[in-house]
Amino acid sequence: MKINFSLNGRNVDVETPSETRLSDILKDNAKIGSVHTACNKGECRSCTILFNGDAAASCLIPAFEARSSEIVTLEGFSKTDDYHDIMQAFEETGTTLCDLCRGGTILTIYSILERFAEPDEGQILDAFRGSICPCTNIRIIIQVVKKTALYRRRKRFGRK
Amino acid sequence: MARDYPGTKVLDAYIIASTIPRGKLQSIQFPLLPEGYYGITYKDIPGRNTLTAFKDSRPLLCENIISYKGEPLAVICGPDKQTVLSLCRQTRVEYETDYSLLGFNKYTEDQIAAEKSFTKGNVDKILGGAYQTVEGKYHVHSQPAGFSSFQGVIAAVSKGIATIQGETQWPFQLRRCVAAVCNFPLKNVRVKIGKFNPTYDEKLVIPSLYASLAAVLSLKAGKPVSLIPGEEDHAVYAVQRPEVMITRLSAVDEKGKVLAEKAVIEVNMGAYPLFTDELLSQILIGAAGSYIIPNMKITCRGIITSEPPMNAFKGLSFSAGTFSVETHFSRIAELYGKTPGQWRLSFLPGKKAYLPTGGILKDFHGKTLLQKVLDNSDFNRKYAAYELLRKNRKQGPIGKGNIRGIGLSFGFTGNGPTIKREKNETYSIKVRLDRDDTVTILSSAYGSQSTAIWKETAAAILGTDPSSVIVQQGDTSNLPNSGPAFLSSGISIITSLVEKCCIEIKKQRFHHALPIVVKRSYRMPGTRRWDPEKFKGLPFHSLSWGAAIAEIEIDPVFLRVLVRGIWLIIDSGKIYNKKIAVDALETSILETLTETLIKDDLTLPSTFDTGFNVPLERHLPLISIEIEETRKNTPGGISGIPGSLLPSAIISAVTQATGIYFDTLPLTPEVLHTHMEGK
Amino acid sequence: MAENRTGRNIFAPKSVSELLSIKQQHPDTLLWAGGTALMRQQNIHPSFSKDIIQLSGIRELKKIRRTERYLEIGACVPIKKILNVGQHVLPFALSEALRSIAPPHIRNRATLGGNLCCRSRRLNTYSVLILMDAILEIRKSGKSRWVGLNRLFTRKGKDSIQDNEVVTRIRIPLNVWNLQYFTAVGDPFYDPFNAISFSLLMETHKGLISQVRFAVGNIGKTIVRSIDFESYLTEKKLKLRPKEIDNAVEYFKKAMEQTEVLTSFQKERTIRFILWFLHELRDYNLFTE
Repeated sequence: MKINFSLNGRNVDVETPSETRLSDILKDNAKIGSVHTACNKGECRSCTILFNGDAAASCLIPAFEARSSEIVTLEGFSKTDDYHDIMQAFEETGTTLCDLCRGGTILTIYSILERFAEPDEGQILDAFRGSICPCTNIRIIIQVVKKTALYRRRKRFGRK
Repeated sequence: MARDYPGTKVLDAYIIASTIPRGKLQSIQFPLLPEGYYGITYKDIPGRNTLTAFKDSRPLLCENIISYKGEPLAVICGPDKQTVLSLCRQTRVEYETDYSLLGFNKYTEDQIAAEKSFTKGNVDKILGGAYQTVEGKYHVHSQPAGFSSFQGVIAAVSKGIATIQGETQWPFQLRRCVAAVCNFPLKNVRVKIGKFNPTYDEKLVIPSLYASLAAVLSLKAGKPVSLIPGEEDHAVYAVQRPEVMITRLSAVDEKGKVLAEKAVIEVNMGAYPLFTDELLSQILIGAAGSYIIPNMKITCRGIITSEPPMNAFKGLSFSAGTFSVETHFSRIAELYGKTPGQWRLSFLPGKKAYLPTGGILKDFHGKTLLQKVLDNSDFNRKYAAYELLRKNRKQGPIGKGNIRGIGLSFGFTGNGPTIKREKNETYSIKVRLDRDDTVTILSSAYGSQSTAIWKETAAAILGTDPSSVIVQQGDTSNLPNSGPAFLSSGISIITSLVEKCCIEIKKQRFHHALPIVVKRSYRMPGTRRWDPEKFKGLPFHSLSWGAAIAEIEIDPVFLRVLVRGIWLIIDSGKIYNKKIAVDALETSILETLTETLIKDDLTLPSTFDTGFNVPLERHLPLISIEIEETRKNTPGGISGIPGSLLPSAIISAVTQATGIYFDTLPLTPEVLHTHMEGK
Repeated sequence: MAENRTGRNIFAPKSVSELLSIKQQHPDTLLWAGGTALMRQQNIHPSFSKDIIQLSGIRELKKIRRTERYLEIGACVPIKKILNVGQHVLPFALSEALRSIAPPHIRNRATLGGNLCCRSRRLNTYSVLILMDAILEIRKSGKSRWVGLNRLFTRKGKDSIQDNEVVTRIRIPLNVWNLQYFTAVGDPFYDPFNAISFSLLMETHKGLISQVRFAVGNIGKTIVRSIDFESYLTEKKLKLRPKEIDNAVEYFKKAMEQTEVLTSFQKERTIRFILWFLHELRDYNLFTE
């Protein structure tokens, strides 16, 4: 089937079988480097994207569901201020994410911060349930989320 | 994976794997392949149909006998991925099934792939006249990795030259393998080395298998071929921890001192054992422990079964050996009414120390480490309190809240391999100082943590900023062979080589014209230092020591072990960056907790429980890490220490809390239930 | 080995009436809500070769309505959206059940209808909503009916929805339960012999249990509930005496033996859970704190 969707702000047309996983379309057809497939069960987060504004596992979305949708991957997200806030927090904690999990981890952090201005440990643990890449650990991620939340609050409400 | 073959269509390939665990392959019949689609079986391999690692080998594609479910049989490639997948499904494979599977629990002599043993003193005599003997059977179940970060390879063969692109921990082995499979001279195979993602050691030999198959297809198709792990060939690319069964028998005197120790170790290697020599040596050395025991006899056997190959999984199962010895000795301490700390402090060697294999340990501070961790965690007080609580517990635990326990373990991990290697397989690196003062490290090994440490090492010696040190990426044609990147060799061996190169550059700096290039290689120690045949001497390049304490609670409703606190102290020699070290240790601790407690099958999705390295609670356990630097010279690996020490500390803590001996890993709620019911 | 996957029809109705007429004409189609469970089993699920009706475009199925007496949730409302309704509106046990379904990046797409109508197993929300007396609106072209959730599946796990029918709304009565609890461990798809969930609703008045409902779920095609157990506990005074606790446990043991679906480990977990909550039971809102 022919599908059309917006990928990082530009229109994309793809011809693919209807049940193809969106992660495969993004990887193979759209040549998106930040989307990987490791588990195909929505567990490993290496295929996370923003699907119509929400973080979603693209391996659990079939091609037909992607019709007319708005998809943002790490490549598109990296042009935003939010991305730079998160990266600043990672730099401050001295952590570098690996290629496999970078997209998923950053977009998950963004989605937590979209829901909670000051997320607590339980909310962060909830969002990171499932597999976490061995290149980092949940304690570092908790630090990063809290730091980023602080930067965002500072930007919105002035220095606090 | 970047597909930088502009203007050329990269063909997609998928593996057809066996659907039976044992039998004979009768025939493979591809469907009518459309133009541009190619299929290969073992008959199409121009060179050797084998994958070699150290001294072992296995077939790439099955020729006749099928040895496990998921064994690669054939590969198909073509321009459209979905069509390739469909062609794979339409391929007709005929088997003659053999229903007599090779098991692990009852094995025949024919199934023993290799056996190693270590003997000192006269064990049988001491056991015969022992004051008391203590027996224990320890079982580490096989555990598949949660997911594989292996993303496949691309092979392009053109004009007799093969170029391979993909993540691997061992690029030069991959090169050798592809050359042998394609019948190419070594120089005609180039392996591009890039950054690689963290690994459970699945990228040690699996990329060689994929690369070799992709290269044969590319040779046939005349186009680059990308061979990606498919959902159906999970058994081909995923790694799993080998199942290990350890039986120990100790002769103990009146004071609780172990006079003789007899152990039999059986390792389930799966259908095709790889790294057998190294793996058996590692488990054996781990099982010998670090205490002074005058008489010892340890036998270690690798068993071939009908399960998928199991070999390297986060190292080579050294931790299984440590788990058995530490859990066993905690049990002996308890039998003699001593706290685990007291017992260990009594029987650990002092400053003039040596390993059971005879290797002399310089600057050994085991007792200091142990004492510090005991103090940090307030171990003795907590241990006494929990003992009292358990003894006074009259009713069943339900309705009375969680029950508590605390456990301890002490030990080491080795850095680098133990067995002698072939001449062409060594660890080499080059360092270059350029006119603009840029320092370039050339090494085929790569890892984000180790490269950061190399940069800091070089910068410190040459008096420059770490940002002006580059770790050059390239391919096997322009980088030296830095060996397989596992067993902490990146941190220990390669960092030492970087140090040596930089010291040499520093000497030459103002005497020779720039650029100066220095190459250094690691020489395996001579038999005076370590004799792998007799098991005598110091087996590793260096040792990292540690002591760990785990405080746990058991939720009596769901029978879950909840970890409340972890105290870890390590001494791995020189630490270049404490922040990186602490982060790596924390990551490893959290992973170990999950592997020890949550699941026996890490491939199970964890969306319902909290996941892979997040323990089951809504709050994380308290983690206290202390790093000692008593040995300033050699840097050693650290991330293996939690995996070696924590399981036995946790098991000992659960034993204390419940008053029931536990001896199985992972300690899932089902295992807890079975033991508590006395089944 | 491979099914021919070409030529499949994907219907994308924009309204319920359109949906119903498609379902009338093509009864053997697969309804696709969030698809998260189906995609996890893409290679093994037998229905995956069928024609598909994509429900995500139907706005009417994505509405939440609240009155004084009940909460009405469209079958295709994502779990995330239901949780956003707020802790004060959503019964505590239901919100815990929804939260335990999956991490947020899956909850964003998974739907309540999908969770309830999964044919192979009864999932998290099913047992809670049964205890809450939830009812479902089932529609087909020109007709609609309301059915109690307890009648959606037979004891053997066969559903009572005809091929041309569709579940459109779930209505949850907002009764005041002053003790609510839900917990789940294990994954019912991948760890069916150990996974389990417990749902508990209780009403107490002046130190007496006036109503209690308890179900064991995530164990396969059915749930375990014991009317004897529930009626024995009704009108009992808190705190329960040890003898009463033992009797209650015995009633539930009988129910477990009759259903024969629980493994011995699941039974053990159930007994331990019942013992724990009956021991801990006081006349205050213990579990919802």
